[in-house]
Amino acid sequence: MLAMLPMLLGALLPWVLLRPNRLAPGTYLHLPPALVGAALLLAVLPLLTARFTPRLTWLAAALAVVAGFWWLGSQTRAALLNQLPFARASAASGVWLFLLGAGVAAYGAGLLSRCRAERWLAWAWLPVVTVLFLSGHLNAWSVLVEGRNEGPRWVQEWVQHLRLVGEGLGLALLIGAPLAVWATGRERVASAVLGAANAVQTLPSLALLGLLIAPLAALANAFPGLRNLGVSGIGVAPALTALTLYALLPILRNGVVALRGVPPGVVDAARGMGMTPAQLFWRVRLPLALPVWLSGIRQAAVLLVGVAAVAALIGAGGLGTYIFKGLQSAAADLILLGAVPAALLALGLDAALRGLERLLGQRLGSVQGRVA
Amino acid sequence: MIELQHLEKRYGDAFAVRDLNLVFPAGELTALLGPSGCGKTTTLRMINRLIEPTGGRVLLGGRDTRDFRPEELRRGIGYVIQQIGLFPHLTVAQNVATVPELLGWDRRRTARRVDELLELVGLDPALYRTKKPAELSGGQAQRVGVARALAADPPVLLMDEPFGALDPLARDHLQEAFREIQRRLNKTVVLVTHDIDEALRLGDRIALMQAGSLAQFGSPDDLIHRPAGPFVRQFLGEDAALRQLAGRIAAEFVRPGDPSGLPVIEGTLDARSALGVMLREGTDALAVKRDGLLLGVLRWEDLHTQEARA
Repeated sequence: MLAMLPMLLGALLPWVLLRPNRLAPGTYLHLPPALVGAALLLAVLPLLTARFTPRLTWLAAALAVVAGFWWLGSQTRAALLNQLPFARASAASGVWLFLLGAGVAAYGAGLLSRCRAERWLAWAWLPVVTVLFLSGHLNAWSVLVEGRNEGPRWVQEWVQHLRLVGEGLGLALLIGAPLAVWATGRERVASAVLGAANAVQTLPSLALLGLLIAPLAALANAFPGLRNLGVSGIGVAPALTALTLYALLPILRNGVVALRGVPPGVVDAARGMGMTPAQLFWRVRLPLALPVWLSGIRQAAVLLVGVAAVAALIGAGGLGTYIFKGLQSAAADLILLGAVPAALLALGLDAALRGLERLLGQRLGSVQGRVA
Repeated sequence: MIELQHLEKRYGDAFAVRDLNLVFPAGELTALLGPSGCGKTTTLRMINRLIEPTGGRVLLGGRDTRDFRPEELRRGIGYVIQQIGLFPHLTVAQNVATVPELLGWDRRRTARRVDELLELVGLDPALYRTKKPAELSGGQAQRVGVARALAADPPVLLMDEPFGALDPLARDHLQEAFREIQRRLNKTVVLVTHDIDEALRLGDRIALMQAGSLAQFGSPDDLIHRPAGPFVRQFLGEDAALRQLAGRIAAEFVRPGDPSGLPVIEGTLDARSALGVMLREGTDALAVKRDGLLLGVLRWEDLHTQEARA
């Protein structure tokens, strides 16, 4: 199995990097010999169970994931004993490889499952690891140390990130949804609108942010009233503008495709039975287009999580702040402090909206489905 | 009664329909027949104003259809199309309830009406009410389509190739079922079709169209025995009389008489096959029985004169 190799390697590689402070070079520490043995055993276990008792693979994989985090906690703590408070113990290559392998094993266990309940079991490690985090077992890990130092500021940047994504998406929906409806059935409008959105999408996000600085600054200078509303060359205003522009394409494209995908026979029947254009839209076109449209909104949301991270560069805040701060000072822990939550946010949004799509698809009967 | 007066639809310089004058009698089924592109669907869609005429007018029960708001007009006219067009996100019951809901019927009355209609089109309400269109066969789906069109009990029903997308067996069943329904309800039906058999089988009258104009309007017998010109004869084909017989059963033509010594056929045999039996047996009369009982005699002249007592 693919999972075994990284786990075996991980068990043998250094587990913890101990540095006297967060910037200084450090020394690599290995797991103690007894734990190396245990780690090797855990590395082989998923393969054995998959071979002989496939129904228990999830357990072996979950054990490995939990053990990886547990040892990360205990080893970092042990390393920091008798060290000054500036010392940092971060995860070294061993931990990452081991966890990668264990994660692959857990994913594989999910694929092996034959029913819904078993698929859920493949995620059994998640609550345990969450408890490990919450209980403070991992508090000695450098990333969490940085997190604790940042404390409320970190939470603030989280909220700021979410706000950027939420507001950008909201604005894009407010503009894009009516535009998509209007463009459907108007060939010229559709190609013009989609072309413009496509052009924006082609611009690198940094370039777009840069391009927005000048006109928005000029606008703020010309109309001081706008400046009072928060419009300026740098900060939230250009970031929100860029995010909105980026979200526009997936929302427009999927909207037009979804609305055009409504079978003409269904529309003809609805008109023939005496639905007004408004009734036709709300009762027939929109419900039938919604599942496909929603997948465009999901793409936009995930995209925005990424672009919002870049927006930190022009002073809009958000989790990107940590990533760039970390990059500037070569502090990997700070980078992770921004990158991991951003990744989790993207994954979480994706999963939630995907679930909503599936639910709507079942309730509404998706457009691609067989239409009688 | 639907009356078309000098009805015209022009796209640029091309006429889709040109100076069409036609009366669809109340309570009868008129088949609007013709080759593709002859303007029959355009004509149908001008009746419920899905297409607005460029000239002439349509009278519905004596009133100009332009006196109504288009939506209001359409809610009073049943509409069945080839693509069926059931709403895939709604259940069968919700589909059938579409027009009653648009008209603001209360929930109880609508539910009762839905069951009544599913019953009428031969679908067990308890079984089909909650199904989604994707779970239905083509034939079942179009039964629901017909039920949906009849939901608010409109006096007029417009059907655009309603059985065209079905496989031959399902089409047969549904045509038969629809003939039964029409016999009971006596709606004013306009049925667009390019299928001569269908027109002969279901139509009380046939309006044959050619290039946007009326070629002939009359009963099936009129078109077969008194064609108004070479186009009509050619379109119906030399075997039109046989096609018509194929749509009837032997029992419809039976008269009392002495069946002794005659070859015996089942009353459910179609009349064209009965004619085939006569040719094979070299006789001009057959004994017809049903369920083991002799019904009477089927004679060549009766098939020939065609004036069947349907």
